[in-house]
Amino acid sequence: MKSRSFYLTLWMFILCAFTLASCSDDDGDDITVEEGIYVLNNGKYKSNNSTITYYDPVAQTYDNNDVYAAQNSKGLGDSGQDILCGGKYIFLAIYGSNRISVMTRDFVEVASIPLVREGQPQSPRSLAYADNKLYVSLYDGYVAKINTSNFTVEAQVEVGRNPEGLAVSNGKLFVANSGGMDYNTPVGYDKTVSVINLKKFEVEKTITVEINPTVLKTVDNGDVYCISMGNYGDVPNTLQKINPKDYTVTAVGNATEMATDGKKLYLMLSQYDANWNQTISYPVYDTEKGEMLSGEWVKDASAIVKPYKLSYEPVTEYLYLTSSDYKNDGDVYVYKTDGTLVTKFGAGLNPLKVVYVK
Amino acid sequence: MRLFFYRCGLCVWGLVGIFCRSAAQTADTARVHQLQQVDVSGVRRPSVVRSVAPLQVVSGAEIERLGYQSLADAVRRFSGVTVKDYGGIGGLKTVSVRSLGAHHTAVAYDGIAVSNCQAGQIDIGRFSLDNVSQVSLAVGQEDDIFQSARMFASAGVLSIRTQQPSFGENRRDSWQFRIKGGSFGFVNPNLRYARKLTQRTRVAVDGDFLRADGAYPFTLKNGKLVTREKRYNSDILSWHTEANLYTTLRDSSALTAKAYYFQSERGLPGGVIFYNPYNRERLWDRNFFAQTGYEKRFNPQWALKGALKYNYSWNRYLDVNNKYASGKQIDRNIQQEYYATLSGLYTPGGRMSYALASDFAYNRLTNNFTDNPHPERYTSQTVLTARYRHQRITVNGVLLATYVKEKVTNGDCPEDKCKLSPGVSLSLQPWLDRNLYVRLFYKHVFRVPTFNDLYYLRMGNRNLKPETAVQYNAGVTWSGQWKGVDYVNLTADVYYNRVDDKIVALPMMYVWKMMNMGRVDIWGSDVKGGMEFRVANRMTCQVSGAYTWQKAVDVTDRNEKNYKHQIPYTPRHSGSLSASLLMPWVNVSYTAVVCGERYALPQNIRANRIDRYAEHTLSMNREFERGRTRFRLQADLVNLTNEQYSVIQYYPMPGRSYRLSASVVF
Repeated sequence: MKSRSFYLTLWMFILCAFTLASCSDDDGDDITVEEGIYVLNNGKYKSNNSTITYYDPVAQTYDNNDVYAAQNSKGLGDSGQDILCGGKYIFLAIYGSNRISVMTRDFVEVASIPLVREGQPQSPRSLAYADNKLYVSLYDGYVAKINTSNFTVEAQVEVGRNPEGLAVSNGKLFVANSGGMDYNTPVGYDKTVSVINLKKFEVEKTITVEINPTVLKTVDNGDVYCISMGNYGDVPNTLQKINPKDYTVTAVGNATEMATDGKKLYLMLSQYDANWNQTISYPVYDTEKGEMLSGEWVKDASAIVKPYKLSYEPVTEYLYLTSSDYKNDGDVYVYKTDGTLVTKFGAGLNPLKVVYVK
Repeated sequence: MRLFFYRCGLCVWGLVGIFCRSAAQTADTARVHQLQQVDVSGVRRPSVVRSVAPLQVVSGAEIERLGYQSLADAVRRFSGVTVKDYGGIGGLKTVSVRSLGAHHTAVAYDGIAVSNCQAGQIDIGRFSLDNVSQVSLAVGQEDDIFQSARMFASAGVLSIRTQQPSFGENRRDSWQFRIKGGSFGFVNPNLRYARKLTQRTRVAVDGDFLRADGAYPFTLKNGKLVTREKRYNSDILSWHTEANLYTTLRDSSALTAKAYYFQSERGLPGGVIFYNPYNRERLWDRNFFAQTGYEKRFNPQWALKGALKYNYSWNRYLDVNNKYASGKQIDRNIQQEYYATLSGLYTPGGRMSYALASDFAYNRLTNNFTDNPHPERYTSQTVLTARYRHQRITVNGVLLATYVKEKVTNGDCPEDKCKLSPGVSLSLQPWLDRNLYVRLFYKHVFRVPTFNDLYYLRMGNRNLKPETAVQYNAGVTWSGQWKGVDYVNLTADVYYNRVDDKIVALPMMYVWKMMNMGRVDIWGSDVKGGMEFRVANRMTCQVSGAYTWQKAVDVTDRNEKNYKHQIPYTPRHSGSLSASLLMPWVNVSYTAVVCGERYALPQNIRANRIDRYAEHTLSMNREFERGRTRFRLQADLVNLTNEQYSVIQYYPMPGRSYRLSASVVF
């Protein structure tokens, strides 16, 4: 058949078209885990892409290869929500993957604790550490107490709906019950803070605050500050002070994020106009004087693009303001407490919280 | 001049129009086809070579022969198309044409566009392939100017045509029974009955049932940890039935009517989450619609057609999880549509023809959310089209006017939207003695924000403007014979599209808000070819292939880290291939789909990269007759290399599977 060469040519053409040239360059290099700042990147919900970024505060260099993956040859999972160092370990709450990862100080995982009740994932949110116990808020309305020597759940206590932030003061654990999962049902948001007596591990008091409380911080004088987010509509966000002894609640201003060095509250306040243009300001609240200070704690607020979360880190004594557009890898702005910018470094997707690991 | 026929037999007069050169000079796709006293077993197959805009067609018989598993499986082999497939038989499947997004693709079922005002994109996973006679995809504008206005309003139209009944000699009725079965508990029986009521009136009733466990195994990679897992909560149970009436009245006008019902219950397996297999999301769907069409040709100059449709769709979503106050979340949505269209065609003779079409639609959505504003939408679309055709040149011009008004029970009402969108297309045959055509088109389209975009609690934004898209296309098509090849066709197009005011969800720190923020630049090229040749006596080979190159980059903001990065889920390279060997005893087909690397998120970094894949399918069928009864047996081996891949990240696709089917027609 004289047309055979034609077929051959055509086939070759088609095959060429399908040869999709590419090479995969996998395998992150093994790293040695150094002392320094570690950033927990939340990732995108349901994308299994939560990671940890290392930043060297002395050399001011960073490494955006996931430290967890390098040390454990697998991923953290979906939506790392909180990280803290307690005792010999690093604890990490991973919301979507429904587990607590327990790691040595060089990020080698020694235990992975699933949290299950009635055959359902309980979805961990925030962590607190007190008297060698780890406390975790669980989105199905519980707080778990975890033994940090054998890594088992010792007890669970029922709190309000969808608990978020935790804070310890005066031998009590304060739990912000947001009720965020019912924002579109007649039940609506929760508006309580549960107080758990840590000795008995029982709820001792339920305090009423503004709707949708999410963030709790304890300052040096023992006061607990609480941000209620409101309903992102007609009910605004509120910063409230909770007295840890008589549980009285005082509204002190507005804020959407806060970090504290024990004396001052470094705040972020995000507001919108009618056309959904966003303006963000950075107020400071003095907890000793009990008043909002004039001006902002950031010197040049216009330099920050898409701020996201704020951490204060006591070893470096810096504030770490993260930024995110929720689709690209974010950045971390490092500030002195007087508001001068030290540096800025790149992190992963949705950088959430910063810890110092020795 | 040699005609070729598909063995499985489509109606002949469609093919005449395509390949016969003399007919090509005079055929006018805008003409009205008078249905006379002829039993038509298929629909006219449009010419892909002479089309002024890129057109791809696959017949029901080809779909069957090549072993395509679903409508989505057939559509993903078209060039320039991205099908988002969330895996499994019940998984959501949407079609995006040339990276413009699924909202810019219209899906027409027997000539009437299906609408979904709530989500805007149509799930093509729910359409059964059992009674399909033809699937076509037109980019830009279909050739036919005599259509409803809605058909002109999208960047691409995926058109599904159902089978019309055919009867044997001296027979008044016909039966068809088919059963398919395969891996993962798949069972799909289908029964079709047609009857000739009078010389001019035929009815057909279809029913099919489908079930599958969908619990297929897959390989999960988590860093260096590789595990074998099973896809749970991926079951589906669905029913589909429809009744059709076709009648030709005494004055030769044609009347058709259809009643359609679909219901399903399915598990929503969700994306695979590391370390947490829990998932108890389910979805129930019910959809009923009735439509009727009328078409009349008064004289050679004037023709008129119109259609009416009522659509009711209901769904219920359930998620069982203790993080909700009541232990579960239930969303219920009801959408209704009333739709009417009327179009007139005027062909004064000579070179010009004109068409005017006007559509009106009323849509409403109710659901069980708090503060649901019960939106209602009134849409009026009017289109004026003109065609000039003289010898070797065809020019089509389109001007579409759209007016949208909404009503809500609470909150602000969005502004009325009023827009004009033009389009021009041209086809030129440079040499009279060669079947080579050059084509160009420009088209402006937009999409109105969906009810979800506008009103979804907290996220919706009532100030949204329509999202606009502009398409430019240039292409060459050729068909003919070449050396020993009986028939070859080749089409190649290059295009540039731009999307402005793209509707995207923007984070506002704590709230996501829909905004007109995105801008996308799309460059691409589609190449497609097919040929048929005789290998030996009574042995024919058909080969076709398609290749797409696309550079679709986000150009929203220079300062963003994904500036000029390829948009998510859009491969640079993709293609498909099919080859069939038609022999007297058995037909064998091989098909492949190849897709290059894509990114799951906007930033083109390694962490977001999704691996390329190739899926191969082998299919064999045999047909035979015993008296008046025709039998057909088919076996498909799908994904024969057991490729472990996903189209959407963490939504794994099934590995190797098989499917058997048997049908009887009498």
